[in-house]
Amino acid sequence: MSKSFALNGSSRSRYAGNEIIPVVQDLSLNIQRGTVTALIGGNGAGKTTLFNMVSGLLKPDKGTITYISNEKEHECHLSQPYEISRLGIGRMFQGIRIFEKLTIYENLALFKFNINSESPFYTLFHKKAFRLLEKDIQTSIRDILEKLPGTDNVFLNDLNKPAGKLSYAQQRLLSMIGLFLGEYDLILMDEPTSGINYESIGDIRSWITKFMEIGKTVFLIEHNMNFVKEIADYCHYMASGKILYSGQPKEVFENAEVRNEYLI
Amino acid sequence: MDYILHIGILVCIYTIITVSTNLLVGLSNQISLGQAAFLGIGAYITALCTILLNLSLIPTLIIVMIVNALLSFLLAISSIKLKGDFFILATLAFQFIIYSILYNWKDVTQGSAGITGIPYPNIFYLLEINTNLSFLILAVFFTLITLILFYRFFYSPFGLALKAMREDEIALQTLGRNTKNLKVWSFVISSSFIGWASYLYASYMSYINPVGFNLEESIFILIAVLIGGIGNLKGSVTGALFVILLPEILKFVGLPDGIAAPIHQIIYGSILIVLMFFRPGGLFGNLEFK
Amino acid sequence: MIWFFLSNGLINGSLIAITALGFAIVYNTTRIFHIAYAALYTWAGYVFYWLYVINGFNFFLSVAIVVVFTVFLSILCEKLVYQPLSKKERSPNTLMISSIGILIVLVNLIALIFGNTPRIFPHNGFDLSEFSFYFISGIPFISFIVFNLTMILFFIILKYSSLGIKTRALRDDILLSHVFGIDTYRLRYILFGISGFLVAIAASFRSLDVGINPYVGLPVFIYAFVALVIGGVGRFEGPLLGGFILGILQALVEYFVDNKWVMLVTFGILMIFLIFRPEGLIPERKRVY
Repeated sequence: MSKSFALNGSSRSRYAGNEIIPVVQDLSLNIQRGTVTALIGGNGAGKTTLFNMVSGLLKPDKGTITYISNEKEHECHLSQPYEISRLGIGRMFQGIRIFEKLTIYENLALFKFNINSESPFYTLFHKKAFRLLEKDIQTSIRDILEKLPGTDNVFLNDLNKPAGKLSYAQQRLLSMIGLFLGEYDLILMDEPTSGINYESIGDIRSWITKFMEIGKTVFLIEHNMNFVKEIADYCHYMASGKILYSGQPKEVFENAEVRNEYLI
Repeated sequence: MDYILHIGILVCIYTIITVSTNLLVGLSNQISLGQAAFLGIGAYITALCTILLNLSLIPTLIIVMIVNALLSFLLAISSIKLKGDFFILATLAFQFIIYSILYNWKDVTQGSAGITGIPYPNIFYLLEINTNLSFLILAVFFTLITLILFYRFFYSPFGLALKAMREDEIALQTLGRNTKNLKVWSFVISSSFIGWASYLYASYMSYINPVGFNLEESIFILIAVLIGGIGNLKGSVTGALFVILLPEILKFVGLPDGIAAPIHQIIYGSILIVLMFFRPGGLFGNLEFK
Repeated sequence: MIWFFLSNGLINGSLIAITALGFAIVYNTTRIFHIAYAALYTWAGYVFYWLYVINGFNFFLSVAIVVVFTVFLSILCEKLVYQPLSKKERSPNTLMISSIGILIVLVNLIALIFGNTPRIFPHNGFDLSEFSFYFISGIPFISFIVFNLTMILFFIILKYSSLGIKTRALRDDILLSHVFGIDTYRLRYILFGISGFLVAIAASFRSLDVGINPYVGLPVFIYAFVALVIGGVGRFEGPLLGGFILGILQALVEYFVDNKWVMLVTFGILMIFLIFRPEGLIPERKRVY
């Protein structure tokens, strides 16, 4: 197992009249395994576009985007989003993207259960798959919920509650638990702390630390600089589609240009 | 007595249709106006297999399911990338293409005259099902199998993935689900089980003509699914019961045929409008059309 | 002989174009799958029949009353069903289903009142059949001219009044036009009214030619929608072009192949467009983000 993931290449532009404005330009990123890497930068710097390209939701106009893990090269620009997810890249969206009508249990089970069971005939031959009563899914969901650091564990008490009835922060936490459950190596998070109160930010921080303990790697977009300072091991500053500075969060924050352009 | 058996058989046929349409329209949220076309293809294949080739029940059923599955696969791969109204339009185009072929390809389908003399089903030439009672038993048997299978589909990981897909397709893709596959599967399953219904229909009526499989019939199927409720088996059975029983009840009131037909259509139409206001998922449905 | 078919194609094309335009003005702006439009066509035809044939009204008076009636009915659909549902934030498919409901109710009301038998217009009073233009008999020729004049009028209004700008605004972004202070619900009444006007003209002249039955509306609607998709959803030139292309194409199929395969070819072409060019012949200009 190699020590790091790499994301290479890519460019995507948008067209304003006859003018071509690059949103993301050639870049090359190395993400150490087992670390938290933060991506900071002003609005419109191309952070979310980069994430969307990595998870296959957007295709680059020209060039390629490759993801290197365990010395194997995957071409993200040729893959569908579901193939990229199966490579081990998990994705948490900005805002909330959970299935509101499904129960908490079903939401979590979607992260956990075997991809093969997606086939309609699986349930005819696997009795327990019916109503998602498979033992290993149940136990792993309960396990993870019991280990959670939060104080009031709404999830465990109300497994059959529709997820849409949870509060905003709880919904965000729910999708984080899902990412815990799924077998992802690299987890992309788009602004995990936006719109969330102070206490829940604490929860999120301690959960990301948990991610680290079980050997996951987190790559996150963040605007909350205190949060980045506390949690990130490494930081990239992005502006007009390019990575301008990289380094320890402290170094990046103290860089004069970053301070002038972004932080103040 | 025969009358009750007749109603029972019709209810069974429509239950199979609504339940399998519910998987497509309800769970995976692909509104299809081409369900009657699959019903028609199945019925004509049944007629040809039993009259020309003198096949028994099980081989005919297998052929019907395979043909329906193949055609729905073709329709699905060409239309699932279309969004919303355009998808509905593609199924509508399919409906008209099939109807036009059934109506005009006189050498095979005998055009508007229809095909008569479709024999009763027989099981390996040993047992012929030739009374209404035995036919009802066969129909109930088919319906029960369909219900059990679809109950399993609805509450399996497959069904869960479909429910998730109707809420947020992109989020489901980033969870590693091939949503295209899910859509194609729901299409193929739905239309191959409609094949069962069309087998029962053709061999029970012993006469089919293309007019029974037009757009109005597709809309009628959609109404039956909607009145009961989408994404819910209980709803589908209720819907089938309702659309079959309502005209019969109106018959007892003693309306002449020329008036009764428009009246029950008007009732269906008003129910649709009222449902969209107060229960957009149908009577028992807890999902809403997206 | 082919000229006869081609001119017929042009006449049918103008019918498809005008109905497509009437549908497009609702569909392009509100994205409602307004199937009830088919019922409006039927109602317009029957009201015209009732006035002109049964009650022997003057031709122009009958057309005027039909136009007023259909505009009213069209606005009623919006007022009683679409608008309340839109305000409840129901999904587009829900609106479509409710529209199917309206269609079924309205068409069967006709069947209940007038029966299922087709009605043909005897040419009493104002006799149009005396006209003829080369090999085309009078009524189709006159309806061709009327349809085209109506469409020209439509485009002039759209181009030179503030209505046109507002319509384009609504088409581009409903929320934004709200923000800019356009009363979108009032605008929608006007759009539904125009749609009713176009379908009333189409239905009265067409049924004068070929007669009417309760189920005539749905095929007309469906051909209109096909023309809209072929021409391109978004701009109003699309349905116009699509309508004429479809009309001429159907005539060519009739001439070279057979009348009975017209439907198959039409929907085959629709399928080809949906698969390979869903944006249509005249695509909507892409918005710059």
